[in-house]
Amino acid sequence: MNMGLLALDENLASSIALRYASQLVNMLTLQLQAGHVEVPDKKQHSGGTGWVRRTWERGLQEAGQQAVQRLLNTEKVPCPFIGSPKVFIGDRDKEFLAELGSGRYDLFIEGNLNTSDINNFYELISSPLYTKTPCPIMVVKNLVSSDSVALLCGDGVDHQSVIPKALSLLKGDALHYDLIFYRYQETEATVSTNKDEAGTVLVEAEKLLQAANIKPANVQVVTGTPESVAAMLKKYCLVATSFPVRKTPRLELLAQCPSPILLCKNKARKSS
Amino acid sequence: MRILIAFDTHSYSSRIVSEVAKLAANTWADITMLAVQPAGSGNKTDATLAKALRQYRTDFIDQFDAGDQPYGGNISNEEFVQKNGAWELSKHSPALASRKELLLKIRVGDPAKEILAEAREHEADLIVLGCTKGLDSQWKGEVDLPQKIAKKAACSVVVIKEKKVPTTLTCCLDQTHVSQSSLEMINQIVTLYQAELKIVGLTDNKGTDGKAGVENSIAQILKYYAERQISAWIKLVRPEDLEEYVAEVSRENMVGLWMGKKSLLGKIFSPNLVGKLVNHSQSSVLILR
Repeated sequence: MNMGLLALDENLASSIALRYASQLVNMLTLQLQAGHVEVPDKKQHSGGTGWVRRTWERGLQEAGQQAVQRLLNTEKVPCPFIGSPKVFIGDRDKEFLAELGSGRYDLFIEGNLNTSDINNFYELISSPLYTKTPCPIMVVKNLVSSDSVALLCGDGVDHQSVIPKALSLLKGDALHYDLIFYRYQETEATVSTNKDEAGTVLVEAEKLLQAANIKPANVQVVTGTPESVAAMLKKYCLVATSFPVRKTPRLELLAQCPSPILLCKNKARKSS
Repeated sequence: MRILIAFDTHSYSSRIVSEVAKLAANTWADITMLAVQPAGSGNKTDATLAKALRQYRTDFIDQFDAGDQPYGGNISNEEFVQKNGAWELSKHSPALASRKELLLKIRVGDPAKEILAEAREHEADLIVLGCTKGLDSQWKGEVDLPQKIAKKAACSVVVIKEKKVPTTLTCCLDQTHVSQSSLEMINQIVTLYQAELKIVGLTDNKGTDGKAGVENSIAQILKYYAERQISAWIKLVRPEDLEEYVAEVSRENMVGLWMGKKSLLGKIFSPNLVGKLVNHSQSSVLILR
């Protein structure tokens, strides 16, 4: 059973992530722990010690618990958690990294709204949480009801490490898989071609799936602009790939992709 | 609710009948089918227009099951009656037992002005009209009529492009002030076309309580549609990028713009840009007010 940490704030992105996660737990062998970081205002920061500090921290804890509870009450989503929400106080990235560093988690899930500004996504994946995370991260942008997953290769993805990792998180009989090799090209429409166009990548990737007794529904090279290919990806409930670390066409594709994305680590992380 | 359907005698007009019938079946709206004949055509109806309107009505009524006929049955020998400078043909025959009004009307004068006047005088909630497909959306023989209606109408407008059934409705909504009737109209259009719904919100919307205000408002809109079993995609766009974004999506998707009096979009999109959108869109356009 995999264990996921679901980040919840009292906002729209968390609302969508919560609904999506409730779908996931019905499809996958996944348990969820809700987590929230209460970030103190600079003015709020207590310089006190002892009782004063404990009282201040307790107040923030309660505020965080109430924020998460309000979200859960509003959404009324049947999402089973393994315990009550964990509330941390401090810097959001640092606190989540510390919790993920405990080794209890196989996956971190959070919502992030799809925007027209690619820089927003670049800032997200360049943040300490994303660059230092010990486990894969699922970024939920929209609530998608589908049972198809795209395994996205090409443009620096180490398929030998990403695909087994993604499959270990998504194990279960509920999902179907397409293998996609992305290639950037300035064309009006997307063009799908045979897997041979990707050299050995898709052949090897297909073997990795076969080793897990999975037959992909489609194996293809998709060529086009990030915008056009991102529009094509909206039919998938999840797009699994590796963390992009530079501003490449794949990063732009992931920024534009309206579907949730699963980011796994390349083995060496030398380049992406 | 009253829907005003503006017709002429061309194929883009006949094509919208079945779509409006579906909309009428969902909303139980009163319907006015309007055509406009030029001034100086004498004290009688234009025979071609009158015949076309009767045919549109027959086609409209034929879209309903015989046992579920809110607009009454078909009759063939009735005549238009002159009333207040226009000609009307209404179904009030007790034998037809219509529960909702289906009024055929021919006005005289400039088509754009008369369509707008009819909508205003009879408080239409929605004007529906067809037009030619492609980049230059027109009524034959009338310069920029669809654009004029979309720009100047006080109510919502749907411009249906010929032979282009939208697969996605991309709606730009000013989150704070979107009216309930507009949300319901979007619901109807999505249902009508079985289209996907994409909600576009503005980031840094000064008209709301910052980012949290935008998100709360979109959350409310999402909830409204979730309760109606409609899932929606979300995209946040910076106000300065909106015009370009709309131009881009209108190449493929039906675009809905909330242009109510309190709408921030109304400030970003001038009436001229609305006209341009109608003209350049490859798909149908929905202007919500």
